[in-house]
Amino acid sequence: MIRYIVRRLLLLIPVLLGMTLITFSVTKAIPVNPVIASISQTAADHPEIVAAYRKEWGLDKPFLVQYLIYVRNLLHGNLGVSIYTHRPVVDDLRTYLPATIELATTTIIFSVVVSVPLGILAATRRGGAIDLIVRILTLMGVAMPIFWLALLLLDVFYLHLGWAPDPGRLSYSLTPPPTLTGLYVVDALIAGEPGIAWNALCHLALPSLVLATWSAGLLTRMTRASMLTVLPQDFLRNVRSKGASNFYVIRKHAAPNATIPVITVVGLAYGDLLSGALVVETIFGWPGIGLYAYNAAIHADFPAMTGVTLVVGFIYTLLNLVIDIIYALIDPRVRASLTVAA
Amino acid sequence: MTATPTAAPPLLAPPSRLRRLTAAVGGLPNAEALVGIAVIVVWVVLIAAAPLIARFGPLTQHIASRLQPPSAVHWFGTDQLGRDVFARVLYGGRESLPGAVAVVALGFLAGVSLGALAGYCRGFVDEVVMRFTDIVLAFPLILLAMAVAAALGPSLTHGILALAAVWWPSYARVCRGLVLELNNKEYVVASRASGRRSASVLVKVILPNALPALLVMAAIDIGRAILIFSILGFLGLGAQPPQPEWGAMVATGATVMGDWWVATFPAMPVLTLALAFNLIGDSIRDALDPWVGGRGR
Repeated sequence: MIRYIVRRLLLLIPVLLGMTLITFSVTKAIPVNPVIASISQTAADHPEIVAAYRKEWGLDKPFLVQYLIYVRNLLHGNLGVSIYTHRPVVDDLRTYLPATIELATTTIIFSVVVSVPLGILAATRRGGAIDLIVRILTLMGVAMPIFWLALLLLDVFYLHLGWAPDPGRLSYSLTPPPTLTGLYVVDALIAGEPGIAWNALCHLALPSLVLATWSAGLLTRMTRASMLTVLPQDFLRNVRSKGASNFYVIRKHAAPNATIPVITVVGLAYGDLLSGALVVETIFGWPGIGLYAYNAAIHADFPAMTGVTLVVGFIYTLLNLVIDIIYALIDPRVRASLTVAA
Repeated sequence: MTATPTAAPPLLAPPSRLRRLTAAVGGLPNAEALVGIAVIVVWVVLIAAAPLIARFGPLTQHIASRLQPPSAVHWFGTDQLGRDVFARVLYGGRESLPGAVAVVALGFLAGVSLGALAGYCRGFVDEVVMRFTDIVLAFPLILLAMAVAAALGPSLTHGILALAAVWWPSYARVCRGLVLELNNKEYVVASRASGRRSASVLVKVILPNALPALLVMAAIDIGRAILIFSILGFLGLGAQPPQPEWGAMVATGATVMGDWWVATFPAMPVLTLALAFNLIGDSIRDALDPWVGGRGR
C-alpha cells in the first residue's frame, strides 16, 4: 500500500511539470506584447520597470530557459503580480480560495446526503413512479444551464420573497471572523460567534443549492446506475435466501458495494465544483477563485488567469490521487489487486 | 429501458399501475431516444427556417417597444433594446448550435488522430501522446478554456477554438483503447499478413471499425458542448454583442430579471437540447447494456 502511494506521488511530478509547461505555453501564445500583457500599459511606459520585469522572467533568454525561470519562480511561490488587483497572485489566491472551498464543500455534502439515498431508492424501485420522478429531476439537473437557474433563484428568493440574504459571504453589517481556516462558518464557530456562523450559512444556502442541482443530479444518476449493477448479483440472492429482510439486504450488502464507485464520482464532482463554481460565484458575488478567474479573463489579467488555472489544476490532480488512495483503502478487492501488481 | 426477466430481481416493489405504464412506455423501441431526437429535429428546423418564421430581424431595434412581455406579436417578448427575443433565440441557434458541433468536431478530429497514432505506434509515441493527454485532462475544462479564450481575445471563433483545445483528450483515450483492442483482431492480423502497409491497415481496416463507437460518443457529447459553449458566451468570452448567442443573451437578461422573458427564453433551447442529447445517450447506454442500463455518466 505504501509502495503504491509513493509510486503515485512520484508519477505526479511529471504531470505537474507538464501542467506548468501548458500554462507557460498559453502565456507565450498571447498575440500581444507579453510585457504589456503582464504589467499593464502604464507600467510599460517606464523603461526601468520593463527592464526589471524582463530580468525577473528572463524574457531576453531562449524559450527553454524562460520556462526554467518560470518553474523556479513557481517553486518560490511566485506566480507573478495581478494586473487587476496589483497584488501577488499567490496572495490573491490565498484570500479567494477558502471562499470557493467553503462553497464547494457545502455543495458536495448537501449533494451526497441527498443523492445517495435517492439513488438507492430509485434503483430498488426501478421502473416505478419514484424512479421515474428521480430520473426526470436528475436529468434536468445535469442538463440545466446553471447560470439561468442562478439568476432565476436570486430574483425569486432575494428580490421578491426576501428569503435569501444579500449576495456575498456575510451581511455588510457583520465583520468576518478572525481568519484561521478561511471558512467563515468554521472560523465563526471557533471564535464562539454562532450568530455570524448562522449568517454565513444562510449566505451559502442559495449558491450551493444552485450548484447542487448539477452535482446532486450527477451523483444520484451514478448511485442509481451503480446500485442497478449490484442488485442482480448472486451474493445478494444468497443473503436473501437466508431470510434476510429487504431493508437489511440493501442497507448491509447492496448499498456498501454500490457506493464505492460513487466515491470516485464524488471526488471528480468536487474538483469540477471548484472550477464550476465560476458561474455561480459571478452571479452571487461570491468572492472565490471563480469570480477571481472571471475578472482576470475579462480584464486580460494573464498572470492571474494562468495562476488560477495552474493552482486549481494542481488541486484537481491531487484530489484525484487522494480518491484513488481512499478507493484502495476501502475496497479490499482493489487493495488485493495492488498487492498482486506490486 | 428494455426490461429483460433477469433485470427484475425480487427486490423490486410489486408492480403498480404507474409502473406498468412506465414499463410499457419504456418497452417501446427507445421511446426516450425518440423524444430526444424529436426535440433536436424541432430545434434544428426552427433554427434553419429562422428567416421564414421570425417576423423581426435579430438585430432590429425598436426602442419604443422595449421590454414588452410575450404577446401575439412578440412571442417571447422584447429585450432592453426592443429586439424580438423569439427572433434572437432562433438566430442565436445559428451561432450556438454550429459552434457546439464545431467544438465536438474539432475535438473529435484532434483526439481521434492522436489516439489512433498512440494506439497504433505504441512505445515512445504512445507514451508521449498519452502523458500529454493526461496533463490536459488534469486541468478543469472551463478554466483552461477560459484562459485560452482570454489569451486569444474574446470572440465566437476563439471560443470555439478554446473549447476544442480542451475537448479532445477523452476522444484520444477512447480511440487509443479501441485501436489497441482491434489491433489483435484476426482480420487486422490477416490484412497485415496479406501485405498491406501499416498506414493503410490503420486507416482502411482499423479506423472504420473504431469509428462507429467514437461517432456515437461524439453525437452524445454535443449536448454537453452546447451547455459549456453557452457558459462561455454567458461569461462574455464567446460571441460578442450584438451577435445573438444563447449564453450571451441570458447575460443580457441578467440585469432585468423582473422582465423574466429576456433571460428565460434563450436558456430554454440550451436546457431542452442538453436534455435531448442526454436522453439519447441514456438509451444508447441502455441498449448496449440491457442487463443494467444507465451505467456511467
